Amino acid sequence: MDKLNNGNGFIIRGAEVFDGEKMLGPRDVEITGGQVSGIHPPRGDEYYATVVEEALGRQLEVSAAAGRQVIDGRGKLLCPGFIDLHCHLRDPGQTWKEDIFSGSAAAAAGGFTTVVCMPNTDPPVDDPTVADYIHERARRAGRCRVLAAGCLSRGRDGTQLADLAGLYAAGVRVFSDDGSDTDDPGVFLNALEFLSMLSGTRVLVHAEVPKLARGVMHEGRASALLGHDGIHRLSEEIAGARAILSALSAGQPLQITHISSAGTLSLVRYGKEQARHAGRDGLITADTTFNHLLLTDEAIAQYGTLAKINPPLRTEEDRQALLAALVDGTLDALVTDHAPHTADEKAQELQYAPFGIAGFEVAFGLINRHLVGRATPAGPVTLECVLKLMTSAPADLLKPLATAEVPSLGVEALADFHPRVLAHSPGRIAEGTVADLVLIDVDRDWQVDPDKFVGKGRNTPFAGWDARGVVELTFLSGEIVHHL
Amino acid sequence: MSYRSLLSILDLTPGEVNQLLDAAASYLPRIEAGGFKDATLKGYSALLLFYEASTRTRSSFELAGKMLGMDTINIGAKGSSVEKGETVRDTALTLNAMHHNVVVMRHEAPDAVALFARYFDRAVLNAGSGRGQHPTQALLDALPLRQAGVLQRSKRIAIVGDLKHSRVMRSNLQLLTSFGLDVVLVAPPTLMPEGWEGLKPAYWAADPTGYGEVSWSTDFDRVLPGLDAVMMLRVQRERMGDAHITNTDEYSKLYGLSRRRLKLLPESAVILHPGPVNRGVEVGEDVFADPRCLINDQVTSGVALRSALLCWSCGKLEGTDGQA
Repeated sequence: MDKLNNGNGFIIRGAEVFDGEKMLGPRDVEITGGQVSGIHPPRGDEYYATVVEEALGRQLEVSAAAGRQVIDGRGKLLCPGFIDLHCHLRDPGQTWKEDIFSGSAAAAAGGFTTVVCMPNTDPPVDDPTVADYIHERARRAGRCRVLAAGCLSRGRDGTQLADLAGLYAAGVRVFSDDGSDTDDPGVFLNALEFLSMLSGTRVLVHAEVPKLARGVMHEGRASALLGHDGIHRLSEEIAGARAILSALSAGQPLQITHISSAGTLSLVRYGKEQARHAGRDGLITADTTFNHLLLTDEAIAQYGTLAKINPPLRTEEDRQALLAALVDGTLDALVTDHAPHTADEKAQELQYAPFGIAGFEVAFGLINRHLVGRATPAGPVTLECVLKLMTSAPADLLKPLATAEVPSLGVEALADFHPRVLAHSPGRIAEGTVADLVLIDVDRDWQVDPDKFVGKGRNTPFAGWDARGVVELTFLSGEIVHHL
Repeated sequence: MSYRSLLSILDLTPGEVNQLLDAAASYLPRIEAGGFKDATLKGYSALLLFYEASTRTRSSFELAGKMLGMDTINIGAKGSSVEKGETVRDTALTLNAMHHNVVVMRHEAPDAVALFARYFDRAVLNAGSGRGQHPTQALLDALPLRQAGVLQRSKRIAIVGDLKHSRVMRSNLQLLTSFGLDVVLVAPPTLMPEGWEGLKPAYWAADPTGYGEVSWSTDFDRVLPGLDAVMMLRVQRERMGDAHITNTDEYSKLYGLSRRRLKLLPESAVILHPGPVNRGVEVGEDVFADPRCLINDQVTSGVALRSALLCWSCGKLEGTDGQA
């Protein structure tokens, strides 16, 4: 990788630039000192031509490009590195499935430069030492910014609060009991109220009522036919309603994550409306996964355990509602819920196999191939819309990280208080932004082959699926961290 | 040598079902006469792999196998390597390496038998998989129904009871509708699977033309007079504990085949129950005493059908009546 970098930075020549909001058209983008240092209209060949000059008595090869590595981006797409607010890196504790090195390499291969990893590790991220471990390992891996999400409750068991202030001091800004929900509504509300005094935090809610979610797939026609226990849609909707009402009451920013059901989208719209009335726009946000946009519960009959995820794939009506919600603004981000498992773990009965699909390396290619251009009642799914939900939109949800203030109350008193300023991924391309970038051969078709995955988890129902758009280069702070 | 597996009732065409029923019917008189002993499957082994309890299915398979000259071996979850955590896949690979000819398997997961069959090269017969399929039960039920003239287009059968948790219902419904029978499901909403419309042939049959219809009623009394057959299913007492039914007394009043309801059932109709029964809940002494009751015929049919099926699975069906 180093051989590609001569230390003088890069010029990416003539790529179509998506700046996080819109397509700018072809541009020459200069990268110096880890930042985007210039964006210019495409320049002619003469600019890049090498001229041999006589200087200081020696023959020198020089060009207007001034010694920088020139990468030909013509016909390709340059966009901000993708940001994934929901993934599982399995480290510490389940490193046979994935670890921070393999996971962040897989993320970079998929074009992701910032990922938020969920705290359902072993031990869980309910203590600042675990967050420190993840951040330090990710720094050493150097492929991707990894932000550890912290638990809401100690041990994710929903009875006591986790070390919320301590986690905050360790740089944690996203809090979640993901893997499950915080069952006790009193503990959950207390967590939200406590976090509301720590600025820049957002709670990510895996909305689930356990007693409505004892099954293994969506409870509907497909489960009725197959005889599998169902997970009722009310599991997510009731828990989603509780989460939204609690967030409105506590004034704590909260995101319903990996939404599977059309009914939950309606509840999110209600929550957003209430937040707007209260002058707290952005308090309630929502995301879904590419899996829920591509598949329905019928996939269980076809792909078996490889299509077993939680919350489950639901019906075609739900899928269509999610697609429309991408376009109409109900969804604020698109996530992978990258959830690696081994082949052995998935080669079991559906009820014993773990939930999850490995997603980093296929997410963009599948969305670009199968969803971009699709009509919805809210208008077509455009490439810009999808890219925004993978770049600037999630970046804005993490934005308080950029201006992380020292918490206003109490935390200074903690003995090991050491606020960590995490470099942030802006999700935008402009002069002066961090050069977290991805260059994509956006029209190139390929086929998903799990054996070629960089990550450890090969668990995907999408093997053999057509994809479009090859991630050629991923830059992290101006360094190439993935190339073909 | 060609082996065939039966994982789901959908693996069989109505023609193949009739072929199996013909063969089973030819065994019936010999079984009713006290059993037989021949050498059709001499040298073959049948491994009975039961992860769940069973009286009828297991013993009828074993009896059928022994009558056909097979070596039968019993393995339960208890006392086997399953207790040591051996997975279904590894169990299948192990038994495959022993070159068993037929594995008859029951398991609590709907997809476990199919999972096993992926790693086993010879015949696998599904003896009940979770709430998914119980194809041999549907076949053995079809034999007395055929003999009673009910297994034909436009006949009407009700399946009554805990349909949410019933593999018997799923296999029977698919077999019966494929023969053109209309199936009325009778259960309270709590014992119906959510999304029960997924049970209609339009949802699962490649071409549902000629299939019977599936409907749902909560009112047993109203359904009874129009029936040619009624199949009562057991309601487990545990269902009270998880709030699917109020109590067995009330359930019995609403959905039991009581003396009063027997009068609503046409004279020509027949009564089935796959067993085991909860006497006094869904059926009582009156049912067993009723001439329309075929419950014991079902059990005998089970031995005959499983004899035919073992031959079929080893490619020996032709020889079963000694004619071919």
